[in-house]
Amino acid sequence: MRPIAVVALLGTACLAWSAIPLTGTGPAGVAALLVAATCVCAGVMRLIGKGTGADDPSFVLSTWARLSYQAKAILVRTGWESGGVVAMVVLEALHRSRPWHTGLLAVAVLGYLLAVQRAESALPFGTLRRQSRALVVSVALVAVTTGVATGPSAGTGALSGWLEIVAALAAVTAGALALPL
Amino acid sequence: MVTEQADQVPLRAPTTAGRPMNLKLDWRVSSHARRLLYLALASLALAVVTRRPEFVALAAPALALLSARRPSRPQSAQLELRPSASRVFEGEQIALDVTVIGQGDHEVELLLHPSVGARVVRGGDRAAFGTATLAYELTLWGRRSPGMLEVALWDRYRMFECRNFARLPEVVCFPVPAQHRRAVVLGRTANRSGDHPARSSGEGAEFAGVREYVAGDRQRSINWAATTRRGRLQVNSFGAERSQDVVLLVDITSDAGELGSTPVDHALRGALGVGRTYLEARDRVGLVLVGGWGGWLAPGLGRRQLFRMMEAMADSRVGWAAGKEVSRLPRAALPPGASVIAFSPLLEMTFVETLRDLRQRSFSVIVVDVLNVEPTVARGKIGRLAKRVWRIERQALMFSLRELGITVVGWDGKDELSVPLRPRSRTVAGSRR
Repeated sequence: MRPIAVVALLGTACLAWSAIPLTGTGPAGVAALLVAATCVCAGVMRLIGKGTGADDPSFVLSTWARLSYQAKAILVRTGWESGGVVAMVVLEALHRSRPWHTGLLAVAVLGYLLAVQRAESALPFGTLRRQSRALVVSVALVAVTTGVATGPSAGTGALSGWLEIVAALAAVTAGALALPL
Repeated sequence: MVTEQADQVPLRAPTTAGRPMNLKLDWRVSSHARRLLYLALASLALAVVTRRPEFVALAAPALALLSARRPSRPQSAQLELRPSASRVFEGEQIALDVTVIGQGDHEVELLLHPSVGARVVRGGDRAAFGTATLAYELTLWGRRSPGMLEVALWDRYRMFECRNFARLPEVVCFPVPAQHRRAVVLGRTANRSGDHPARSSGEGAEFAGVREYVAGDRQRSINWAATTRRGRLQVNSFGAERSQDVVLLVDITSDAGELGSTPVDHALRGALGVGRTYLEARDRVGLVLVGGWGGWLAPGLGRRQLFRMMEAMADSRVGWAAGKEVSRLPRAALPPGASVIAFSPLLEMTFVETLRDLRQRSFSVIVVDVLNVEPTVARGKIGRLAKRVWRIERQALMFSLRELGITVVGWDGKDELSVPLRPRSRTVAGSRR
């Protein structure tokens, strides 16, 4: 249960960090907050329910038992964490520009996703050491981009144009890399 | 209790070396990679739309992990399964040694999915390396595979995964013999030496009485105290010890109740407990499984017969099969004069007729009623009435069997089986002054 508790803790921390301050985001912010909270909670429940197994519904006679089985199946099959992460990013975007805050959120969200992955498998936490180089590079990239964004000319002029191109190319590359080719 | 039975009948034979199984590895994008991809896409889209470069910082770690160089993935691997035992009693644990070969630099996760009648031991269902020992226990008798083993392989950054399933090796699970310490002697005893005191005098160990010396008596049997008192030579007499044929009749035609404690489960456990007691007393014990895909075993002696009985029970299936009536069994399965001990919930009328038929053929019959549940009825007056009628019908059935001279005792599967059978145990026979 300890890995799941870590997931719950990190999920709540990311959610709270992206939601602060609660004012000034309007109805869209409230909606994003609700979606993110639901997804974090459902994700934790999914991880709890994953280990308990499910009975075959054909042997369950009562309607209530059948419904609970169906609900559990939906809970386990849905990737709640993806929705939660996207909702957190949207919630962060609804706030005014605050680069250092977003940078810390990036690190926290990465920790949250790694914790979810850890809780899904029996692999010990020590196996993350094999990813240490990539993780160090990731954190360095976060620091660099946050530093660039903190500059006074960020989001304006030629840099912004280049950023759009780089972002679009990175999105395409990320999609291509994730395909099992 | 389980350990005790295991000590008495050691069945933990090592299994033969497991043959390696070939696993075809079908790699897919992992859910972790998918989550990182969603994060990257959402962040980059927001960076472009809102013209805020700090959102690239949110996408950067995901992009770094997704674009990290990965070694080539193997297309196949070998899986070797070695269970610690292939024959166990209910409740006994099995350790499964799992070895995955050919996974290269990739991480391996093993996950056990038990089937009905099997249960993973706490902490023994998961392992994280290519060589591991998982543990599970079987909770229900029978011959079957205890479940499936899921083998998941991950690349270094856990971006790609592949999952394979392998069926666990078949295990024979025997019912746990019920506790039974006292042999029940019924009817005629055969003219073979055994452990049961007979009514006739003989060379047994049970003291029967004192009688006057006759020519041919051994000198060592003279009772000197009685001789001095009476003034004539007196000798001690002993009861004979004989063995008998016992046929265990197990009704597996119908079943009810919770899995693991159904009447059939209790019937098999009870029959095995009684059978073991008789075999230890050097009696010949036979087994007839009525219904299902059961069969019969001619009465036999010794531990080998116990093993045969256990195998037959493990292979049996609950249900009714036509043409399995006991009256059609050959003489070898039901020798004349044999004591018949039947274990039945008395739900199937064909079986009840079989009992009546056996009694009319002058077999000594004792029935252990193993029904431990009552039918579920609707709430209300009609339901209560239906249950009452059912109980009255049961009482009428018991009465009709007792009228025929069949002894019926109830056993719920929890107490020691000797308790309900004790009043039917035969007392020590012999002449008294």
